[in-house]
Amino acid sequence: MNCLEFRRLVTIDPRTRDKEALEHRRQCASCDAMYQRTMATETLLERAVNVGVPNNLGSNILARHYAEHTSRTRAWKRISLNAIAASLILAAGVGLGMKFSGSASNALPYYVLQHVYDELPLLTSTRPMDPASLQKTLREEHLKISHIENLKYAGACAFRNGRSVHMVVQGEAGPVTVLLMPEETVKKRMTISDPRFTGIISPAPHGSLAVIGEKQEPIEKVEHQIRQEVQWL
Amino acid sequence: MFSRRKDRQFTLLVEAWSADLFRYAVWLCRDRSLAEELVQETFLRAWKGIDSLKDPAATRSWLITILRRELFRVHGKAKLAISDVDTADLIDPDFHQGVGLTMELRKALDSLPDDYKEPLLLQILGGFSCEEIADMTDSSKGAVMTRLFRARDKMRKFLEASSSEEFMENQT
Ligand SMILES: [Zn+2]
Ligand SMILES: [Zn+2]
Repeated sequence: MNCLEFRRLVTIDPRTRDKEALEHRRQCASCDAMYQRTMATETLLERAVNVGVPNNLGSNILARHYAEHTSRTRAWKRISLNAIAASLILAAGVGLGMKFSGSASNALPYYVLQHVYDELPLLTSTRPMDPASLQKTLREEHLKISHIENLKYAGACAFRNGRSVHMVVQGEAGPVTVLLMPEETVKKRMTISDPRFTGIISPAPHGSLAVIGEKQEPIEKVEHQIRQEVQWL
Repeated sequence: MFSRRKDRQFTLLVEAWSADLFRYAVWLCRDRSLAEELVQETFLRAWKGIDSLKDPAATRSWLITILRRELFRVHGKAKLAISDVDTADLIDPDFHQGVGLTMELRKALDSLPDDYKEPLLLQILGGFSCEEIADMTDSSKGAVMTRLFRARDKMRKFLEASSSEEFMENQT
């Protein structure tokens, strides 16, 4: 194998196990240097390709699968078109929002909305909570919850670089998502709106609080309730 | 109605492969909720066909093949509609974690033509060989190699042109 062949092969497949290629690398310093550079690039590419996966992807799939797979052979087309429509509208809204803002903290409403969409099944979930891990997170994040009215779900979630306590309470217009985000500081109150949801993010004693419900939901009422029921220690 | 063994096998399959399938789907359709639906649908079909899967080593390429088929079944319309929107920022809500260069690289990757992007993803995400990629994408090994060469060449040129500090750090 000559240098040209080696370089072409390594460009196509940096992880090649071709014996002749390995042999050439051992004998040719400049090709070995080219290989090292290629592998450095490969590490960067791997990092770029590995986008974040929604929390609980596997368990959501299993839950939905076992709940639905008996009766949903024809439902897919409808579901997928709805998903496309919803995400396109979200995309358009976010695109506009991004133009106005630009800074990282102004993008928080986008992350919050995306989190709600990522975990959409939680809104209708009847799966049991995990009190142990929830209590642990609450303790570590210096939060205390004794009783939440109309609570349907509560759990701990990864959110951006930190954690959040993710709750769903029954509101007047439907399920309402509440995120306690101890690591997300906001200076002032922000509103969230897309074709389906409406909500707010507002400063909390430490971090911030997001409340997102269906369009007709009286969000302030739920926010007021949560502020009464959660203690930021 | 369902055997315990099939349930267990299916659960393992979902746990082992859902993340990779999701990443692959999100790169191709650029839409996280659609990607999740696609992965769900892929496993629905996998469940039906699980008894016919004889060779465990072929599981991954089998799942990818199912996912691709589903994607192309629903993707046509979405693709046209999405093309007007700046999608680069929508790929990943965690994109801020990929500070600087990673984000730039994602945009560069996303701007590759699908013909180039797909084999590259299969290679990097899935660790598939050129032969396997050729099988999965219904093309010849030679064509896959040409596409990989061009895709990687574009990415290399992009990186060389990038004067990002992070890149300099990574190079030393
Ligand atoms: Zn050489
Ligand atoms: Zn969550």
